Amino acid sequence: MGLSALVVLLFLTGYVLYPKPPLDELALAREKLALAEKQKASVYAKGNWKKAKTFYDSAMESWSRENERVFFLRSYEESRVFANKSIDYAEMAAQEAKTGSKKLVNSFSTRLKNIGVQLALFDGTYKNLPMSKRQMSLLASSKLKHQEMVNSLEKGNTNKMEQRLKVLESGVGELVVFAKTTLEEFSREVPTWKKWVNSAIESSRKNGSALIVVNKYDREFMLYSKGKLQATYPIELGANWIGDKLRSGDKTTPEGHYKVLKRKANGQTKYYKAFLLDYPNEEDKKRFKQNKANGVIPQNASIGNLIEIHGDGGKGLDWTDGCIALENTYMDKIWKLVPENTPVLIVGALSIPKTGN
Amino acid sequence: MIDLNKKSLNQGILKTKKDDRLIMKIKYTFISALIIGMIGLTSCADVPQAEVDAANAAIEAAKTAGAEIYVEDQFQALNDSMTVAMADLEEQKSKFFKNYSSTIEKLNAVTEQAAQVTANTNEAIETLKAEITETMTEVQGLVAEGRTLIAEAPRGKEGTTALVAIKAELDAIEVSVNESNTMFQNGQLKPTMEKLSVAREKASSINTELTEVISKYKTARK
Repeated sequence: MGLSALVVLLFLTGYVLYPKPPLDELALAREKLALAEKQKASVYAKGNWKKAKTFYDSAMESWSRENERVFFLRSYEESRVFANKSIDYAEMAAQEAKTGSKKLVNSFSTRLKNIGVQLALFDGTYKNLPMSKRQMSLLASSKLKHQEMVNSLEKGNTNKMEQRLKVLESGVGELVVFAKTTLEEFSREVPTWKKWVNSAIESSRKNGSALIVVNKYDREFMLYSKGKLQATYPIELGANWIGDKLRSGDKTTPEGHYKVLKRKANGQTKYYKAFLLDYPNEEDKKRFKQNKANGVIPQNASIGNLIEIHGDGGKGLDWTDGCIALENTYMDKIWKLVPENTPVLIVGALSIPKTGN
Repeated sequence: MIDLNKKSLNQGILKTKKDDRLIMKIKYTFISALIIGMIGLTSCADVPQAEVDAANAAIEAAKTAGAEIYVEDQFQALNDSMTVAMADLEEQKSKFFKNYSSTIEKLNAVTEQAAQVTANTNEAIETLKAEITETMTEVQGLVAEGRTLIAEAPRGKEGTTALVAIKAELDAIEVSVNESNTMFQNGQLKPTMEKLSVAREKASSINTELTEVISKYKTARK
């Protein structure tokens, strides 16, 4: 009887003294850590995530250490504390990651959107801006890289996004500054060009003559008769259309007051029909000489000639060597209306171009 | 009589003491055996260290194969399984009567799972490599086609001037393919594929655009 009581007592004492490991706490910590990892806490909440993991590992180590001791000497209190801390930090990490990733993705998304808007300007407002080979290469690679980053972000991949974005922003920024500066400089002449056009229209009205106005920026050929606009047609120019022509081979369409020197019928020109202009005129020659003297152009440069308004246009590209190309049907329409000596006014623009602000 | 009684009493007392000692001895022996038994029972099962090591080695092999990158979710699930198995191990170690059979089961399952994850990783890598090689060839083909189309594209008096922008784009694609190739050689398969996908898309759109322009131009010339 006494012996049985002793055994029961021993078991009861053992049961009471036997410590309970922090199973629930550790299971919860694992659950919270898994949730935090789902939120990519290791990326977006590095600090709290690391703490949560460290506390979990410490809880396991402490538990393991205590398991090595005799049962009635074991204490899982430390392990329990670590597990609870792991739970707290995992929760914080998950929350931080959730808001952090959202914030970061939004920020990257906004920056990419801005870059996209700037790049789109080169398909619109800046489309026809003459750029160097290096600038064109930079633009092309920037477009590719932009698309790469957009795709990456769509997949939730923000790896190295900050560095890549900085490089892209710098490249696109350089192009935008160039484009804006070029257009701003170009725009300075607009009031003068407007005056020229108004005055020429007035002369056309007074003299009852025809007048051709070429607006390079808007790619427009306008035909006036007796001061009244008769027709507007699209044109194509030289690849380096912006700015005034400086010398032969610069692929720029000259700006200024000219006149039709000769009418070239079909067969007399490679480009269907043509109106040969009196480029270079006296003013062009004077400016050319001055530019040479100032070192703006090389000493061996020549001024060029054979600037025409001709056919074979409609290619959708600026392809001429400085001439103004119209579609053949439009050449047919104006052919009879443009006699020799018709004034031709070539201007950069008649309104201030948008600079993409 | 009295003496006799005393003697017999003394003898009786002596006998009782002897019995008590015997009982005590039995008790102590029993308690000692019980304690030894308890200690024995609490430590009779061995920790399945071989299984733990095997599972860890299998996970490491999966990681080395690239599971973390190519089958991210599976690798995460594998790690979670191992964490659970290790917790189970500690739980058994904490118990009075240890039984590691469930832990061994879990650890063996982790080892098997890890082997599967490694196989899946290798398969994913091989599939991606094949896709990259195919796409690279495709993009190179598209660039070559683009260059041929440029030759056919409408041009002005100065030949290629008007198509410089498109050429620059094709050049940029070619640079991108070269960069992709370097990344591929360095084992950065996923970024390589992402880069190539964009290059393919761009090259394709350029060719479509050029084909349309050429066709439009040819029609206009008729």
